[in-house]
Amino acid sequence: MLIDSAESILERSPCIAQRYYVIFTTKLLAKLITRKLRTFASRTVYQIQLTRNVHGRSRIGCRDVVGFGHNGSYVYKDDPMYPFPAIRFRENTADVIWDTLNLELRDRFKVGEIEIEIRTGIGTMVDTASSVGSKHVEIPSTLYSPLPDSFSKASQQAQLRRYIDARMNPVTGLSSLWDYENDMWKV
Amino acid sequence: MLKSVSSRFVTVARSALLKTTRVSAAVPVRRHGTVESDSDFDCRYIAYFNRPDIDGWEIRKAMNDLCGMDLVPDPQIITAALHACRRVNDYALAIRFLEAVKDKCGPKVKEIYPYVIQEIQPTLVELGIDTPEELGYDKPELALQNVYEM
Repeated sequence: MLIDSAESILERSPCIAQRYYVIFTTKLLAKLITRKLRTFASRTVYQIQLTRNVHGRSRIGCRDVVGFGHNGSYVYKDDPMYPFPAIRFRENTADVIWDTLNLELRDRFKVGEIEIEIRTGIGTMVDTASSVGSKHVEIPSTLYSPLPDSFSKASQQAQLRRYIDARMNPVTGLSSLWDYENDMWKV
Repeated sequence: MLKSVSSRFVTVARSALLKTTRVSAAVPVRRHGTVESDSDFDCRYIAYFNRPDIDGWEIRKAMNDLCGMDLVPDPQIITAALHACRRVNDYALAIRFLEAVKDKCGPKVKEIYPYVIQEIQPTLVELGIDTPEELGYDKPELALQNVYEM
């Protein structure tokens, strides 16, 4: 069961059931706290963000998002009809920052932490049957090449969050187990 | 005094009545909203670009809108846009905008584009912006030679 930090509650929101859209509240106070201070935070501000934009920021590296582009997605495309792409061509490096104005403030997004189980297949014990008798053979942990970065826990959590946001398998599969009103797994 | 006032009131009432009858008699042809004059359009965009706190996002939004319309932006608008680029320290955006303006000239590029560059030359000198031609961006960089022209 996941335990939200106060900041992640601040940033995220209940999701309304539209197929490809994820709605985040940008309330200033967390859901729990507003029960006490209703007079201060009685208005909620909803900001609709596309799933592909919310999760597409991880694919552009250190590049700044500078505009809308041709359809709002974070793509660099030279197009005579849309001359100004949404992201910069090159990444920001340590010595070069292409623009002092950072558009991070425009679409801030934070992924909450989700606990998942992962299994690694390194160093498992294998039974080999032979005519003499069974032997236990251990596969050394250096046999396989290192796992890619997408196997890391943080990456898998981000992937899982993206599957849930995109409503994958909502009827009988993954998203059917997620409670979108309360933004947590169904009890 | 009263007579003049009353007579004026009568004329006003009559004209009002006349207006109402005229409207109900014939439906005038209306356009979608009011048509903006060219100078109003220019002033609107110049004022937008001249905002001191303008954002890179908003500059691109306005430039994209301009490039979406069936017109070549006025040199004054281009000047204001270049100043806005200077304010946000985005040199690449200025060059890209000039390329977009050249593209907007369409088939009449040989007549319109030199005029535009001539009009904005003081601004280019003041801000230190090279034209795309000076940077060599008017020729394709990675294009292969056409085999039929070898």
